[in-house]
Amino acid sequence: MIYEGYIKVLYIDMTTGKIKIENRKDLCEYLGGVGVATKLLEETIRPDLDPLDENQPIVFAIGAASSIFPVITKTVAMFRSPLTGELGESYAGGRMALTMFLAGYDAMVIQGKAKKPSYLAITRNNVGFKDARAFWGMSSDEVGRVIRDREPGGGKRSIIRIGPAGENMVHYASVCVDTYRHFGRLGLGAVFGSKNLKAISIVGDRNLPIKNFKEYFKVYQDIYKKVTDTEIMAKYHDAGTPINIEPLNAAGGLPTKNLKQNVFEHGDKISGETFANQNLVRKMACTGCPVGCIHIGQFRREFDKGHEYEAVSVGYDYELIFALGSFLGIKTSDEVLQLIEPVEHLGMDAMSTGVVLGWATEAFAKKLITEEQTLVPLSFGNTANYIKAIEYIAAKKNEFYTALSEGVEKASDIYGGKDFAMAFSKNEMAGYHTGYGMILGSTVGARHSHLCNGGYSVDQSMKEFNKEKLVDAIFAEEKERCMLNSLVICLFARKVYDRTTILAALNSIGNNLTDEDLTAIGERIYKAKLRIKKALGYDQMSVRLPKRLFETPSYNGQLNEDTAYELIAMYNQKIEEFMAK
Amino acid sequence: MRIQISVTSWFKRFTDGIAEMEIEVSDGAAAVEAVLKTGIPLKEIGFVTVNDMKVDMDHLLHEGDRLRAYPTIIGG
Ligand code: SF4
Repeated sequence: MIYEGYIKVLYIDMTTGKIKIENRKDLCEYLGGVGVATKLLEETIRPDLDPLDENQPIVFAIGAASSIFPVITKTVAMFRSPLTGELGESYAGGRMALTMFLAGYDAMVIQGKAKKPSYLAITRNNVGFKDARAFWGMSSDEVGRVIRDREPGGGKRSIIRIGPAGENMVHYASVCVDTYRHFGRLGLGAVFGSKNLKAISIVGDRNLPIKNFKEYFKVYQDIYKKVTDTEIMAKYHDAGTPINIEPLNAAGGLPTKNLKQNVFEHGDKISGETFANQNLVRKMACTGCPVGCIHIGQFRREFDKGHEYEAVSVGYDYELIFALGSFLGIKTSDEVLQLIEPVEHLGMDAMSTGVVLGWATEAFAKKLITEEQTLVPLSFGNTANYIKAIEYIAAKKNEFYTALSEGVEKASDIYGGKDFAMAFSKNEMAGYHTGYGMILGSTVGARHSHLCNGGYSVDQSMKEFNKEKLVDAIFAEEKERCMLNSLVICLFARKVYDRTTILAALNSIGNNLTDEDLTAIGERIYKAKLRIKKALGYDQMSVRLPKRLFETPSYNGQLNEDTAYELIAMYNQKIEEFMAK
Repeated sequence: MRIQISVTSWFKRFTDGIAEMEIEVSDGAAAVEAVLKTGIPLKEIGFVTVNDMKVDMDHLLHEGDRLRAYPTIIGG
């Protein structure tokens, strides 16, 4: 992509074992990342088939400046989500973007289904289809270790893989990237499972000299300085995103016990500071990032009688602490880590898992479901039983856990309890009960994630509630993030990468775009996403919101259901006008 | 008048490591005046509470009030 004037796409057919490479000039108007991935998804997605049909594609793409500027570290994955049935879009850091870049591929499209469990070994000159029968059933951790031993490549290698939940096609199964990063949301892991695809190893060994090194290095240094010498990114490295627990809890925005509460009485026991003081042992970074926001915590586990202990390390961040902590009434940082561990090894999205279990706990208390179905009594704060329930979901142990494995919307369709099934358009909620911005943003966001448009952030910054201003802010941010994600910048650094900085970076590597071009690219991508959603049958106006959102006060006080629906209608009107333009 | 101020751990980098302090502000001062005296840059403040209630920065303080400053929420 850089200097080449085309997007190099690697097409892999798992059914036939054939590959094809295309150099696509026409994709350049989508810049890269989510733009290119959206276009490739639009070309290959099958609205007539189930999301887990083998003919559905998985698309990966890196961006127009991937890996050569600080914090531009992510790869985007796009697919038809088995959780929502519509647009699947997920991002992961680690080493994947670097290795794709050094292997010379800007995008990959994977279709078909292997006859037996397989993994792909991708290098610059070859794609190996390898037997993974011996790995089927392994945790995402274990399979990573085994492939590391088998495949050469050292530091410029990325291994992305699924655990048993992906194999069993849990609709929110994740894909683990280089141990501590994930394509977490919307069930990419299940799509891997549906293709008998256990893992992908990518090794890159290309050398790409920068043409105008002087100009490039100047811009690089400016960005590096901004990242390391200012306060913008410092919080992410310090205590990391878990720093959010304390303010959200103090302001009444921390979803607790399936959002029956907005304040957690044990919030201080699972705060960022508590994790830092009691569990933090290491910080890590995605390749090419000087921030290092990945926090690794440790807990002690007794593995035998007679005081035999092992130290177990797992990554943690705010969303995990919310979903497997406050949302389930878990009272200590050690126990939160104990819950993260099986979710990680089985390969599931922590947010969906926590939210699904929160619903199940309340449904159990309300007698909508019985112990015959749950197999263990579920109650807020009961870590041991939650660990069992997590294992049962991954294994689809019985009919009830099979329903849970398809998400909270599906489970509440069957067993009731819709009013407290905490999902937006079928995607389980993120950890911010901050106000209308979060509700609107998650509902209308292209993939129904808090990251589509940062609605929680608008809630925080908007001084006075104003419907028009809120709708405009969410709409503008959604488009802007389409552009940002075409690069694919880690969104934690979005304040570093303002328009001026982006243009300076792109211009320094010969990509002479203007501010207007960036606006047009963002709009082009958003339109393509909306076209895909429409083709998949998504109807914004038929979305129902769980009543719990309006029963439990938020960071911005009590919310009104009618106002929320009015905002959704206003937004819908806006995108209709946008699409007609 | 004197008021009590406490800050979360993150803010200690701006307050010489001090988490709790008592400061003097003019009678009828707003929360923002008290916060400015701590040395914490205003853009770092997400919100403040006074006597455990979330309030706006122009909230008027009274003798003996307990003000706590919280950082902005971060994320993608
Ligand atoms: S800030 Fe964190 S998630 Fe983002 S690139 Fe750096 S280490 Fe990775």
